[in-house]
Amino acid sequence: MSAILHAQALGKRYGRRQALAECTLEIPPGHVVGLVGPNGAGKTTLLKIACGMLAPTSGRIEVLGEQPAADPAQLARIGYVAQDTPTYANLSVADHLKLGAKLNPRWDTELAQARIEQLDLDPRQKAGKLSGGQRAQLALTVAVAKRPELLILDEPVASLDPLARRSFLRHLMESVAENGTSVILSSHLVSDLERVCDYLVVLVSSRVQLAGETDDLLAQHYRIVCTRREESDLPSDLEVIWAEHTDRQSTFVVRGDTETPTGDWVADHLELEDLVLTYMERAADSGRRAKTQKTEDAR
Amino acid sequence: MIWLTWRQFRAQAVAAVVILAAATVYFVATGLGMHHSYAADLASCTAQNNCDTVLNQLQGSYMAAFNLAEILLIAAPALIGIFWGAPLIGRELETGTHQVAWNQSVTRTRWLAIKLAGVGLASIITAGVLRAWK
Repeated sequence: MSAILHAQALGKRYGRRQALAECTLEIPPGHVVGLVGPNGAGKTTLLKIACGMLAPTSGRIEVLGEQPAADPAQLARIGYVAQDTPTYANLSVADHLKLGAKLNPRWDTELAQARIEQLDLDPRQKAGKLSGGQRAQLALTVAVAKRPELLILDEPVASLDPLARRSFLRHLMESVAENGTSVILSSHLVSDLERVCDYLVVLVSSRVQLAGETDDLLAQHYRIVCTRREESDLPSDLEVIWAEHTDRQSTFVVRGDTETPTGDWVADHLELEDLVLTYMERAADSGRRAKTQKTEDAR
Repeated sequence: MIWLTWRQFRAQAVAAVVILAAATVYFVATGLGMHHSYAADLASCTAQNNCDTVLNQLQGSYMAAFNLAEILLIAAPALIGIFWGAPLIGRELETGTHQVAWNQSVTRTRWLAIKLAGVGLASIITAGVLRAWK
């Protein structure tokens, strides 16, 4: 089976602002992919391009082997829930299901009904009167009952309280397990994704910093604490991601192969959150450095 | 898609029908009254030889209704634009619901075509009804 998302040097520019740059990605099928990054990193832009809401300014993208939103058949294969989970405020819950049934050839009425019952939603209630969590669940129901091969969710839990967040993610995982759907979901909180994702893409300041299966990533990264030394003193097969020095001690985050690097130091695996934050910090740092460089050059 | 367009447009369509119906009733009633007093006044005025004054009075007393009809005819396109045209696409973009519509298995071209055709047809019918009053 081909990749669910294949991007080649993808870029998007809004006027003078580069929202996404040099994005090259190849995501294999059958994963729940977490797209992490700080606010304004380009997550929404990438997801909107993937579902065809936006056209890229450079590069190529293929989703499930085809151009996004090329025709009704391609639209039917992808389910998308936009940021803030929009719904028609003056349409009732039942109307939303009817809408889905009328507009999608593969609509699963039973699944939709079952989910609404399970969620305890009143079919006659207007979507505008639902709580944020219920609205998110309704939007997810419409996207899932469409029976897509790929589900794209843009910060689906951002506006939900912890309880609604957990229940939303649980329902998501249930329907994914039942139907074998691939999922891409974005968030700026790693803790949300940690529980559900087995593939991770870290996007910071419009660039992809890290992508891979969560288990592999965790296995390849180590934190090394040792007596103070320079990066060049470490074995050359270790890629230094992050270095921090005090007077007598150095801390490195390195990427190597799966075997623990041995030496006169303590090497430990990182938590997923630490790993992601390291890459975010590194990207933010190099961005800052580039900016100072530029102002210095200008002088 | 036709169902969705109709479902979103239903409230506005019902409002328009109510207004049109109320206006029709009003104008028909005024028209009948006018017809009656015209016949009655004209019959009596030849005997009293003051037809000019009576006709002027008649015209004066129905001026308001006449002006109202005129204003309604002039305002109709603007009202249709404000209450039907503007929310057609604008409200979807404002509330982000176009993202829902565009991600069902219907292309954007079809979505736009059906919306424009549906509400366009309704506007034509309304204009036809207004025309029939004249």
